[in-house]
Amino acid sequence: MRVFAIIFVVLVLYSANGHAQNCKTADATSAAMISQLNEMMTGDSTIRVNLQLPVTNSSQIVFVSTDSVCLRARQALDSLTHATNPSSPSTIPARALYVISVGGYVAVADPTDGASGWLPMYIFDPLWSFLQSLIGWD
Amino acid sequence: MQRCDRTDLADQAGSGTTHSRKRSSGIYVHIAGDPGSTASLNNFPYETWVSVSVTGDIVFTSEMPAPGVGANYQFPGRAVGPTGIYDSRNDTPWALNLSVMGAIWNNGNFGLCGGTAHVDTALISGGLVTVRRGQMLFQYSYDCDPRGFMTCHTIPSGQSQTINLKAIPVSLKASSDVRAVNFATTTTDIRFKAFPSPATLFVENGTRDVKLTTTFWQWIGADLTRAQVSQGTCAYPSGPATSRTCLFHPLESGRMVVKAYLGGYEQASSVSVQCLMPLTDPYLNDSTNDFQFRTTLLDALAMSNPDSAPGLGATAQHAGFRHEESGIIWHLPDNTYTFTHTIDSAATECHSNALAERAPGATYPPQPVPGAYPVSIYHTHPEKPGDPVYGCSGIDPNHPMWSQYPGDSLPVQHAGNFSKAGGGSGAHLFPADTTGDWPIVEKYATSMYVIQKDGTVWRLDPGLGFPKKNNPNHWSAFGTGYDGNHPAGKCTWAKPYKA
Repeated sequence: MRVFAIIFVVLVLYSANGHAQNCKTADATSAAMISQLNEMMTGDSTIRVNLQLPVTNSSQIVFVSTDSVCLRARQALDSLTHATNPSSPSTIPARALYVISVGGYVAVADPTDGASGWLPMYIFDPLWSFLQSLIGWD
Repeated sequence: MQRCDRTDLADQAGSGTTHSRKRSSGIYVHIAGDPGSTASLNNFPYETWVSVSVTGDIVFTSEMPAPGVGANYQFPGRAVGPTGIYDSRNDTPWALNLSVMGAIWNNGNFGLCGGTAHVDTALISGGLVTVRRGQMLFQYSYDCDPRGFMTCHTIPSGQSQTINLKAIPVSLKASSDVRAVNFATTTTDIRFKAFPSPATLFVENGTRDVKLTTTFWQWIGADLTRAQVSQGTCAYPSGPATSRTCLFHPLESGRMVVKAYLGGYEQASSVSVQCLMPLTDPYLNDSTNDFQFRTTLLDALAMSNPDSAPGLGATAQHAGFRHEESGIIWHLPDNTYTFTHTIDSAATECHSNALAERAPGATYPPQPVPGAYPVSIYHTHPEKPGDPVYGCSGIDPNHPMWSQYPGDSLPVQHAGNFSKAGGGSGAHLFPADTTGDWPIVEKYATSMYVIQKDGTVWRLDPGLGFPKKNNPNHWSAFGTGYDGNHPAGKCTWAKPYKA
């Protein structure tokens, strides 16, 4: 019993420091992301054209729950933060992200983020280079 | 004492020197001191109520009286004002006074002869109205010269008085007997009315009508088609009347513009007839104040420069031409509403603050009038989906910063489809953050209106559940922004009229 309790505490701590929580679970926000992406990526949407993104089949717009992918998304997002925000700390706190695979591209949203009240949706290319960001979809 | 208001004075020597120019305080005319001088008043094309006042005096000289001269000889010389001087030896017993001549009606000129001058109120029209100086003092040489050769009274040359002519302020108003029509399904005859405010003046113990002369009727449809209306009851110029009506049959929402001459110049006024919006809304559907909130929103959107290119004019020091605008709806003590526009110097394409003008520590900016309280706020979203959006700001050091102006090397935000967010920002952030539209709605427990570049108008209500994209409170002010199958069409909001 004592061993079981120790294992439980270790798992909780592991979870709390983010190692196992790089992906947000699917909810209304992820549904909104997918809805916006479906609307803008599958046709001649003004948004897609302005953002210079390729048309994508809706079957390729998929919610991601693979932790390693979400971790990579967080690293890419933190890298963008370090590149643009001189006030950013050297180590940005871990947090879970919404990640959607869009064909070869990746859309990411950080629920702790805000741009004048809007929740940005970041679009990265297959090599995790930042491409565009979108507000006003949630 | 006599009133110096006889206008049949005999012509006497002398001529007037007049010139006039318009000033904000009225029209000034100078009249020479010579008896019989005249000064033309402004040539109002239609009858106009005016006030006429005079400043300054003129001086006459008087020779020493000869021995035995009677007490009626005016000595010594002195200054006289616009009411002149009582002179019992003249056939008409006054001299050098000023009179308004040719008026349709006037109020006893400038007062009792030789008495304290007052302001005359007159109804005048045309170019033949003048102010005339009265006759000279009775001249009898033996009054001052036993030989009978001298001139006893003279008016030194170069003197004048200033006449100030002011049209009495009267405003043109417009109304209609029907204020709301559902033009999507029906049309109807509408009787428009132009009338003065005030309708009457109280002058010399009597009520006098104010009249107007209409010079223009024009229906401006919501699609900006213009129909100059000049038939039947709408014919113009109409000739003076206490009010004029124009019967018209519009086929879509719009605004009737009327111009009329009153109060000294041609004025314009307008009244709109529009569709009521579905989903009863107290401000958008307030026809009793000519849908002023719709006008406020359209004005705010226009001031946002939505047609300007994103980022144009934006620098490190300047937010650029395109930017959000915002303001407050106030409830007034008489149960009406007024709308104030907020000057937010920090506003960008991405944000504005309707409460920016509040003092430190205050919840709201100062009331527009005592007893008013805020009931709602509004702002604009001047971009369309896909537009770059400059000027967004992050909320903490753990996230990227966004481009404030082109060339600052920061990544540029882009606008999504705001319908997905129910028209407002920040749905996901409440209550962790209070900077977004939805969090502010909850924080202040008040509704918020947003007008988008595509003509969609949203009302964000507190307590609305998630997802916000289901927000039912949206309308089309113009265009087909929200739903191409339901364009604003014949119910497009009437544009504000700019004279």
